[in-house]
Amino acid sequence: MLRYIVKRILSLIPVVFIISIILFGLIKVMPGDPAKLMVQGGRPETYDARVEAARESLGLDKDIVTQYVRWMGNLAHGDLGMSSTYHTEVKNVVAEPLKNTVFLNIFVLIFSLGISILVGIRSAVKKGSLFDQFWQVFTLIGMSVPTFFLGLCLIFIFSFKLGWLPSFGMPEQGLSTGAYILSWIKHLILPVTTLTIIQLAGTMRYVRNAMLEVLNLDFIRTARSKGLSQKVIIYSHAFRNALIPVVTIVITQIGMLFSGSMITESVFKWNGLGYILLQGLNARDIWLVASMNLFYVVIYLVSNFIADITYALVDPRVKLD
Amino acid sequence: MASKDNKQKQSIFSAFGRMFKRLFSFGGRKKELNVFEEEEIKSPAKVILSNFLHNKYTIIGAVLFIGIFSFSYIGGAFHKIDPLYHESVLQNIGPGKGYLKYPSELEGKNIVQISSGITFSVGLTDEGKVYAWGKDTDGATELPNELGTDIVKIAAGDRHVVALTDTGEFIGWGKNDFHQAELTYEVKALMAEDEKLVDITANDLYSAVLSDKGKLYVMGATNANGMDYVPEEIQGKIKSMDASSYNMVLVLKDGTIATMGAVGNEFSKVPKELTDGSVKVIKAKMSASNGIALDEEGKVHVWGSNENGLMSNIPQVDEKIIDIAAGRSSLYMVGESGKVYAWGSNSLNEINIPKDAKNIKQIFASYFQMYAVDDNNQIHAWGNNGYVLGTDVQGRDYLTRLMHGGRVTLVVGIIAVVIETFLGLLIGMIAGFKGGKIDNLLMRFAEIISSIPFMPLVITLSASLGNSMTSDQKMYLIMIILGVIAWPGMARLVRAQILIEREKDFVLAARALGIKERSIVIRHILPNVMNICIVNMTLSYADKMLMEAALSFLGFGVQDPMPSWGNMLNGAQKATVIENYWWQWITPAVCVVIAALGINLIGDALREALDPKENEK
Amino acid sequence: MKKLLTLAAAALMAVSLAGCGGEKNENKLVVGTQDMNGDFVDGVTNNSYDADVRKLIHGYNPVDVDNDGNLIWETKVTLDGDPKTEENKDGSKTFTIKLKDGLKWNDGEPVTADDYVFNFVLRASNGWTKAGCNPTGVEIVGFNQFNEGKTDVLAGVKKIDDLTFSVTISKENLPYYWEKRFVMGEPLPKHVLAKDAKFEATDEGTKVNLKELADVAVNVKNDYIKNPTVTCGAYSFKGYKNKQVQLEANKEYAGDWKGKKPAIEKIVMKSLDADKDADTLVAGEVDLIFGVVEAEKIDKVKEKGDAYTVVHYPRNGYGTMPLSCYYGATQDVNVRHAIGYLINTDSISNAAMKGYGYACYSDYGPAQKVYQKNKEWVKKELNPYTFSIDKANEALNESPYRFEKDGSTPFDSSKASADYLRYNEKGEVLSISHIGTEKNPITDNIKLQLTKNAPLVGMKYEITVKDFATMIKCYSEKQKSDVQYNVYNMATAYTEVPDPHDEVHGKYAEYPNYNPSGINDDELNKIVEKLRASSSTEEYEANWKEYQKRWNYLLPVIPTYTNDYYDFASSKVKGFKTTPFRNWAKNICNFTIE
Repeated sequence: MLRYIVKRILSLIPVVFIISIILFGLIKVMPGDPAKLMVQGGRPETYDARVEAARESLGLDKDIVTQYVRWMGNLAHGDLGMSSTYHTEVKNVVAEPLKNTVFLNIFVLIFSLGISILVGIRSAVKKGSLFDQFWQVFTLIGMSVPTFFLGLCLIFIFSFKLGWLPSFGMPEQGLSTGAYILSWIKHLILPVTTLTIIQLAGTMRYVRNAMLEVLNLDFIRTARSKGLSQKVIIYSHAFRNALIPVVTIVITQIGMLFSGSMITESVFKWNGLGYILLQGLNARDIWLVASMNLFYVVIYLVSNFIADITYALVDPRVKLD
Repeated sequence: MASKDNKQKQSIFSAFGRMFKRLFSFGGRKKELNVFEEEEIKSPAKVILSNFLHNKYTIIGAVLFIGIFSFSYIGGAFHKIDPLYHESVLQNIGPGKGYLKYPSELEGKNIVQISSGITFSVGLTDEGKVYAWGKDTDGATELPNELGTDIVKIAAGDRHVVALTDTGEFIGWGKNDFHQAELTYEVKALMAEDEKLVDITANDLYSAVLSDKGKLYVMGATNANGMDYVPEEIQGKIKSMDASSYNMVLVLKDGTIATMGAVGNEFSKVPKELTDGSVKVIKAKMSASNGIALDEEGKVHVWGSNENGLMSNIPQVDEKIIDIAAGRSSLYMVGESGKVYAWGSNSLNEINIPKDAKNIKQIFASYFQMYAVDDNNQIHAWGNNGYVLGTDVQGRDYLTRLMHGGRVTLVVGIIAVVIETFLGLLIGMIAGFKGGKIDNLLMRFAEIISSIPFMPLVITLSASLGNSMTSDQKMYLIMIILGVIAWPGMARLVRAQILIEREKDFVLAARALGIKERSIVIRHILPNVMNICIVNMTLSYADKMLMEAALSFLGFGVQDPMPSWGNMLNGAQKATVIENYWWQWITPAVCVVIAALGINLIGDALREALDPKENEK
Repeated sequence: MKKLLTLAAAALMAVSLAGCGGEKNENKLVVGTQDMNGDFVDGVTNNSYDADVRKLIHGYNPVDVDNDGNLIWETKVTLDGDPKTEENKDGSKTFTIKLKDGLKWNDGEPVTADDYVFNFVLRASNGWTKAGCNPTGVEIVGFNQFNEGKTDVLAGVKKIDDLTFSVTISKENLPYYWEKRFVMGEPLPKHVLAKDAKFEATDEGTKVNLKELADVAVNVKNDYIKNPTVTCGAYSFKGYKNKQVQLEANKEYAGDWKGKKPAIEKIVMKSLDADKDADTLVAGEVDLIFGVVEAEKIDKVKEKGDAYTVVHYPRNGYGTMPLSCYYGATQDVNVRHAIGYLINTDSISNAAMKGYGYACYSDYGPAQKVYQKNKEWVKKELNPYTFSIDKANEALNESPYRFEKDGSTPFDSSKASADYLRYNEKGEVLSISHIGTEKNPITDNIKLQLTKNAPLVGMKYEITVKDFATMIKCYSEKQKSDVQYNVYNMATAYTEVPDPHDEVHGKYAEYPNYNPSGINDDELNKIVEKLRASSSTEEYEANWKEYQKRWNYLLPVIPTYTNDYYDFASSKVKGFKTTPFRNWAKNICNFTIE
């Protein structure tokens, strides 16, 4: 087991390096000169000097290999580089959005998992019933609706027509604690609902299928024949076993907490990482884009890795080597 | 060597062919497998097919998808698209037809005037009564109560109507955001006490009134065309006028023609004979940028721009002309014989004169609706009869764009999926069969590709590669990107399936029996891999369509003027569109949802049908 | 499951109910703005939404703008009488500025001449430029040497006593029609930013320690710009978080140009979606939005009647399409004319903008006084380039592109089509490539028009749509041979100093951020030099006409449309009035909340 873990970690390192090179290369071939985009206004007489200064401050005056090495070196020190749009370190730019994204996605995770597990189990137990069919169709529709369309519909109904909830943005600052919390809740409802519905579609089917698989196993039949009550069979025998695959998707989803959802954040103008990244891409904010993308990659790899380990830990049948 | 290769290829192909045949043919297997034959066992394909077909969701899914597919492809074949066509004045019109459906009471009455706006028309009979029909925009067809039976003149602008009573009283209704439907205070102030209004006209966002002193006054949005300025040398000499978006044509009391409004265009170059008094004009009309004048001798003079062939396609006529009319981009004249001559744009059926329109005595045309009245006071109408799904912000028919947008979205999805499946199958199979180092390397590679966050990667690629591309090329780029990035998932599935199948007892048994490896692969392993592939393809197809929509929504996908469901939804980012122009976002969204849902239903049913556990009794 | 749903529904209800009874009676103004960059002191970026915050938090500028766009000395609160001006022997000019006593920073410290001198010196310094900020004060005597770091003395700025300082403008920049601009500059709090830094008033000017100043510059750039807590404007900066700026009335503020003090206690500036601003206003999420141009949005707010105050004014700028005067076919003036004739600008303002737009013939903003005064002249004397295929063909027949493919047979305009294009003597086809930015109905309309009309004059026209960054790159690297675009889509806005010098002077043809078309025309160069040196209003007007005439002929940029800007505020905001030159942030002290 330990050997496996060490081996996996070691194998991650080259993967991260290769990806970092791919990412860096991709970003470098994007048209647009961040130094020139950074310099705005001022007198034409001093323009060249300022572009030069900007280029220097972004580290773009060096050759491409040096730039890459420097970027990786800085990353190792926790320095994510300089943002050309915000004229400050990327660290400062992403701190707030990162918090917001995680906060938003925690709610999404709780709701989508909670509902998936509750409904998924029931669906599996009552396979073919009206309840099951309803949720099957519901999840299929959820899988077929573009995220932004769902978000826009919610905005249209709950903000513009009914006027119940704010259509966009972040909770208002400078309120009393109670009002501030309320403001958070109000601003969270629509994006959380949108993301939950979209995510629900996938996870609910997953839980249902996992549960169905377990219910078909022999030991459940045995338990049934022993005359155990339905509740005991479902919750104590079947669900525990069905939980194993579910755990892995939970962990993968935790990994996705950080990457956020570009589209939902754009629709709701949520000051999250996805939104910042989209803007950064448009403004050729190279270090912001490069560092954030690499951050996503690492999170993804690590959460996958943890999922594998957990799988092995909770399921004795799985052997790692 | 080459021949050997060829042979090998052939055999693989034929093996594949056999496999497919077996998968979908019933009973064909009987001969080969007679050892294990059992009466009640159906062939797996048969089970799958019957399971698949007996699932009601399959039927629903298939109906949805085939419906939307034929909507795009068959519908699109009937509704040709010219991506560059646009008619700004027709922008954002709601769904509805029947612009030409005039009330039956009008039949047989003496028509004095018919005037049309962009979606409606108003008619005036010699009884002084006004009728309105067509699709309502901004209340233009809701006749106000003050309207009696003493009306002598009417005129319709784009979204408003103005009328004049026999006492010279002005009545206006419809859109009034620039005060185009009211006699403004400023105009009243300019008029003398005893001045009486005798004529009116209206066009895009403005109206003009003429007084008995030959003076012209203009109300409404005149920012763009400078129509608020009536040249002093003609003010007071005007006999009649006709309006278009940027210019007005005026017939002066001496029978000459004058123009006003935008200067320096082809229209403002009036032929000399019309201005020097050598011909006496009795009636003049104008289209968007052409003038047409009828003189005392029944001869017609046309001038202006040659757009839509309005100058080069003037019909040769050897009879006296009795009436003229001008639509937005088409011109008409009626000969003594009652024949109507029409030329100009035909994109909205403007010059498709009904066959039974004979013995015409009067013709009325404005914007895109035309009416001709014959000897028996029968009305013949032609032109734009409306839009099933309204128009978009550039005045293009939404239904047509929706159909052609579907073609793009559906094709983008299909090609992306084909690329994805090809790569996934190939790499997955190599990894699965070869194993060892190659497997390890390929799977690491797959891991690398799939660990790069999808959306940012697509957007970055689209921005960096799409730099020097036209919008067509960009569409292909999107297909390729979507396909190339998505293969790792498929490859993993294929590889995993191969590994599972290889360890299954029957494969081991077959191996023990000494059956050739290739034969095992083709006969036992591949069919199961194919199953997974097909299911995954369908589900991923739905995904790709949603992805295209999302990318276009963010502005990184297919570019206007080429429509795609995604970029048609782009407008939905605007609250004004969401609120006012529902057809512009609901319809493409519904199409995407229907297509994706249809495919998802099919895919889901396929998966269930192919899942051996589901087939257990 | 049902329970859960019921619970969720109940929670939703509770929240919405509680939301209705929020803190309504606060003396607070919520302003809807757009994405800010977070630079609240001049010098780094020029995002106009940041600029609104700057207008609110900085004050005591010796020069202000009146409602008509004239620069005025701010003698009501800041200055103790008009500054003394003195023409020096060497041709330079010295402004001696005396401040009123008793002006205070929001931390209670007095505002002194040091703070103004600090501002001028810091912004002219080498350290400031090195820190990546825009230097200002190019016109000040001794700027060049000081900015290059060759000397530690800025000759043109001098402290005289605690309330008096002088600024000397060099000869090369004089005379200048808007000369007050040279001494514009809000004080920076020296006691906070550079408490111990050496600023010595010598006979030669202000002597500083360059090293020290460079450190100060870096600190200002990294900290003060992002978080300027000590300021002296009507409002104090309280924080910028999650794209919201919070401001609080500054108790120490002495007043604006009319002596008015802020009446609204708190201001929250929220960054909102430009596509949804009118709805957010109507939904009550914000109290004020500004710069609205779209007909539907305007109509939507207007429909609500008295619930909103509507202010509209002509825009001080216009939508533009710069034509490259350094690359390809558009180098020829006749080709530029032809493109001008091919766009139906009337259709843009009438149909695409639903009557809210109007045509713009030359390089002016409809808000400008000089234009308002000479409206008739503009209409009569300038070529409106009214849409006309014939004229476009005529213009092209004058250009090098008047032949068929063989380069010798004259082109027959009547046959022009996508398959029958124009060529020049060398057999090069008349091909225009146009780069546009993101989707919007106006640019889409222009795009459709040009693609449709260009073949009618034998012009090959290709339009690509790119994101903004790509366009800027293509735009700013014109010297390179791989630049392929002739036409761009942009918009322009004037500042309070409508000096076209930098935008058209051939000196800056290499700098597309300034001179977007890269035009370099000797006559035009002379005119703009003359224009900025005008000594009286009459002279200025005459030069302005000359300039418009020449510009209109050269057509380096096609003015596509201009329009009115609409500002809306909910009716609880009283005294709401804005002008093109004094926007809501400038006029904030006039507003009260009911």
